Amino acid sequence: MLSYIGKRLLTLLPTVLVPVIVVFVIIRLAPGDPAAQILGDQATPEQVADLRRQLGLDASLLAQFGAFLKRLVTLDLGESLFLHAPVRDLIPGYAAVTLEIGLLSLVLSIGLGMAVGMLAAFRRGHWDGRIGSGIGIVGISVPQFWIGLLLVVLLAVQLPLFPVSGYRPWSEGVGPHLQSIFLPALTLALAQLGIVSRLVSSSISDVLNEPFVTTARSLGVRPRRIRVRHVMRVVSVEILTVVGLLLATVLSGSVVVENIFGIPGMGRLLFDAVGRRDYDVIQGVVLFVGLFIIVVNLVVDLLYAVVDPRVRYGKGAP
Amino acid sequence: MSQDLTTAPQGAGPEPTVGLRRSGALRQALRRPAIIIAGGLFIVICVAASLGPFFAGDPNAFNALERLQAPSLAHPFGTDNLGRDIAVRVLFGGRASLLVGFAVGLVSVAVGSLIGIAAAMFRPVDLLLMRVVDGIMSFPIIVLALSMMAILGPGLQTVIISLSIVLVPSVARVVRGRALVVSQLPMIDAARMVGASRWRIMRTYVLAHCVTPVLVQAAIVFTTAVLIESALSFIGAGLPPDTPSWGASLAESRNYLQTAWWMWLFPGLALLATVLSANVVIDGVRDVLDPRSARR
Repeated sequence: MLSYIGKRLLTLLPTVLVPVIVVFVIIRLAPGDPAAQILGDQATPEQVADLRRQLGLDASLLAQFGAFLKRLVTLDLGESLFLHAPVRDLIPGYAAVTLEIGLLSLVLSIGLGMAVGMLAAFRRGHWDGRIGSGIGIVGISVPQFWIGLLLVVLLAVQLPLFPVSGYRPWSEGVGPHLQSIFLPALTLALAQLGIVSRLVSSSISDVLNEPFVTTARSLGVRPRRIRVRHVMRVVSVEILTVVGLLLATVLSGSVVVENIFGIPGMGRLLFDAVGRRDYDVIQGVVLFVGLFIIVVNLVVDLLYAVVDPRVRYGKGAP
Repeated sequence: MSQDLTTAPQGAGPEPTVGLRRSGALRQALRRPAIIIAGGLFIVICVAASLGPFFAGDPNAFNALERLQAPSLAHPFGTDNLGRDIAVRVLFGGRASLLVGFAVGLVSVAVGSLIGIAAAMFRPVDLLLMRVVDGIMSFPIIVLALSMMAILGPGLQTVIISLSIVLVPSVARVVRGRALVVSQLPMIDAARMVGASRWRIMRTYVLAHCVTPVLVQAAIVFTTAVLIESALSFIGAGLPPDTPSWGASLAESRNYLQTAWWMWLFPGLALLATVLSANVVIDGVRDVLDPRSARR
């Protein structure tokens, strides 16, 4: 089991290292001097030189990379030039907000996605099955921010059930807090509905073609029992994959949704950093998102190994 | 999805031969009403977005007297808060979106095929290349794209560059996987025996078998690029502000959600129609290529 964990960790490492290195290299190779761009047109050459020294941009590329890796290992992510705080201390507050909305959206999208996916697969060829697969393909085609706008028009403007935007922390009361995060979570959930329902329905269709289903059918097992006892039991393992996949994107879907609803989360932090060219924050967010994905993947892999022992011995693909 | 083609030559039983299935694919695809309708819609959108801007007039021409007009004969999609014609802006926005989509698709196919073939041909490089590919693919697209936009600055080229960097790996992965499978086929041994060089084998046999899966993947790259570009433009980190784009139009509509429904409806519908029609064609083509995947 331990060697399995080690092996998985080794294959997951690129997920965090590659994006961080790509961003590192592009910052250094991009045309123009980052220091000059941060300071703007008004800066004197002395100010630019000062900032270059402060950012460590005057060293050679290799030396910069060495220093960068050394900081990474000690989890020193540098300091935000605008928020005047260490990036490491900034991230948890923003991440908590994003995670909460993400988890709520996960519950909604798994529930809705399972229902739509089962409809599409079990009622294939019927009119209601067609609606199910129709929802699936429209779901993967519709832009997330348009769903957000439509929900605002419907549930905040026409029917004023929820605030148009703005975030209320728990300290302002449970009701207002939940109200303020519901529309963002629903937007994320509807945006993922297409992916979830298509994965669910395709894995159901795969299982329906398995010989053991044919056997059960020929033995006269009632269709309802086949669906619940034989098909959904196998499919439920696949749901784990979907949960892992969605959890990994929880931090990324937030960029657009947090922009629409004015939520102070990771997406907002990244977006603001992008506008100000606050490179340490950008690097920190990329690193944090990568680490988060690794942890999620590792947990999902381990759960697989628990549920399905074949995985531990390298058979059966997780 | 490649299993029919690869197992058939090894005598897997009553499977039809490779040639028969492939020559019939196009005709089979064109027999499906969904593909015809969606494909037709997609072609209409492409023609309108590429030729429309030449006839439509100036997308930035504003008219203070005609602010926020509802759809009418003069302005079929209405006008926005500056009195600009939304129909004209939707056409120009389509040109920008499709340009990004096709450019990213082309770059991804070219670079992705090279990387994929290199990985399949030279095993030592394979490990390194595929780790990089895995790393980028498992990372949220929009976070990486947005970070790169910060560094490269807004603009059409930078959108294309950063989306290409993010999406090339998916093509590379497809090409590598396919190339490795095809290299195991008996025909490759045969070619080697008659003295074909390694490069020639890759070019004429392996690459030829990658064409269909690469085209499907390129179409997926296209739809992803269009969606991400519009999201980036929506939050103001994509195309420059003076370029009309669907994402930017929708961002402008946010202050008029209550009063001017035409501002958020038409650009959004255009975006949805483009991506949806492409996705329906992709699904249909996949079903035809591999009937067993006919599921969704």
